[in-house]
Amino acid sequence: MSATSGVRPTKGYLMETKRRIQTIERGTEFLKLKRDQLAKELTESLDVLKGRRGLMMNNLQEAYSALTAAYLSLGPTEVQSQTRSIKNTLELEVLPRSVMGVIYPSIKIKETPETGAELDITLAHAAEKVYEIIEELIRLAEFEERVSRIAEELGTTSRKVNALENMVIPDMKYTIKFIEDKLDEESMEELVRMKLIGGTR
Amino acid sequence: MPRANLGTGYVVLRTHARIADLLNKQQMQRLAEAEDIDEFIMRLKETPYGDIEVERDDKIALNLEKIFIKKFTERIEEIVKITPARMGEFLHAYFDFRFEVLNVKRILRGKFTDSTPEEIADSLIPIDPYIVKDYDELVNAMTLEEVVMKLNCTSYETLIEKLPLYKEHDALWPLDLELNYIYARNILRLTEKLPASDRRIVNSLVKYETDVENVLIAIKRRGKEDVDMESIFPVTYGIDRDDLKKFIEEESLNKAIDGLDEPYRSVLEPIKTGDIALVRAMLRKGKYDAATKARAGNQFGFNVILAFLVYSEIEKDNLVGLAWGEVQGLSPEQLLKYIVIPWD
Repeated sequence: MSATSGVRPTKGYLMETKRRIQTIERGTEFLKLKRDQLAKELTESLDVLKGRRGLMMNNLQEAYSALTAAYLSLGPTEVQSQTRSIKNTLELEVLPRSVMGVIYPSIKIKETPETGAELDITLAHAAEKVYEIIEELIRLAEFEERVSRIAEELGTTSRKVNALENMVIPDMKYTIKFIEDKLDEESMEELVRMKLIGGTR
Repeated sequence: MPRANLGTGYVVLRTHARIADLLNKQQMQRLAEAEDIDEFIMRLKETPYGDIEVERDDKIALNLEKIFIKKFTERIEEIVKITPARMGEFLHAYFDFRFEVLNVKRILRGKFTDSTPEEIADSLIPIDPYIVKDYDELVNAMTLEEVVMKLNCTSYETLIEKLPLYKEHDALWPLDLELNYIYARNILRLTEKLPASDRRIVNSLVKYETDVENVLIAIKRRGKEDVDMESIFPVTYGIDRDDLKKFIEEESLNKAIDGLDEPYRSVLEPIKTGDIALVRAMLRKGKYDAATKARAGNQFGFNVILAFLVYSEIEKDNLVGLAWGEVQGLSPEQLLKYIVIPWD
């Protein structure tokens, strides 16, 4: 469908279109700012994510070693029996948070299991390490989701900016030019008509 | 020669022969170097353990643990059967009482977290009851309080006094601690039946273990205020409450460890590097060293019998750890770090 189909070549429509293009151009500038900011946020977040994942692997190794040591020291049946004595569990609350209009889930730890008093010190040490990992995993999952949503929003914003810059604004400019040409043509015709009428008198 | 002495001599001779059957350093290392659990079982066949029939499902490590415990209890039974009455009675108590305390702890944990009777029964060490009448009766009790009340009029009856503390904290540690002290108190009382010369080794083993456990309990309470030292540490031996208080309050744990005498300082040394699990290995090594020293002091008495049983228990613990590690695919280095194989 042509950009000018359904266009009314009137002065009112021209003024309306010019007003719209101004708003769209201003919106595009804002979207560009948002896109740049999101890209910056994403680049920084990816660096943080990489660092956090590396740290996570180290901590995971430490927690696994502590747990292995507990199993080797106490035996599997005793470890299983002792871990059963932990009554309360990890309780989480998921809340929505927003960064530059991007909503992502934020996880709040409401209750943590109390392991120290009930477990053998070897197992309590391992449990502490494992709990640290769980907490980090939660934070990492939250951060990954945030990064993923920022990336998604960046894609959407870029597509919007491209569409506005390459399609909508050129189409509207074309429409404006079309209307202006039409109006010029009409005023020329009017002028000629007036001159012709004047000549016959 | 009195009959009892003749009996002891015979048992000591038999025990010397049995000590030769214990797995040596090379055999233990060979087991640790097995590629997987199947090879571990194959290699075990070459040892006095022989061919072991075990169900190869996802609970193979737990199944093997039960087998090793059974082999260990058979060794105790075999020795106790031929040991003169008083000595035999003591050995029976020393080991069976310890396992029963563990079983009671496991039943209480199961009841605390509403585990099913099947789950609880599955976690128990397969031994005959020593003081309690019947494990099934305890396992099938409706509540933890009911289990404790069923232990009235037995050596475990002081647990009843700890029920209010259990309810106040909604935690098992008051009952757990009381069980530790019931064991220590009763074993020390039973040693009175032994001749004075035999008493020393048992006393040192029980007191040493209780002292180290007290330190570990104190470390778990580090930084906490208003710790009721009397109720948390009702029994202390070589490490008194003032020393234990340092482990709770002192800013530097290393300083508190350095303030202890030997052998405690060496046993607790791994804590300085954060390797807490190694303390358990060091504790076992300490028991091994104490038993070996006592055995060397008298090659023809009770010390030899007790040393054999202490070695056997360490061997059982080692095999349980190795079997679990093999199932997990741990490297020999990882496995041997926490395994005590000091005998050559």
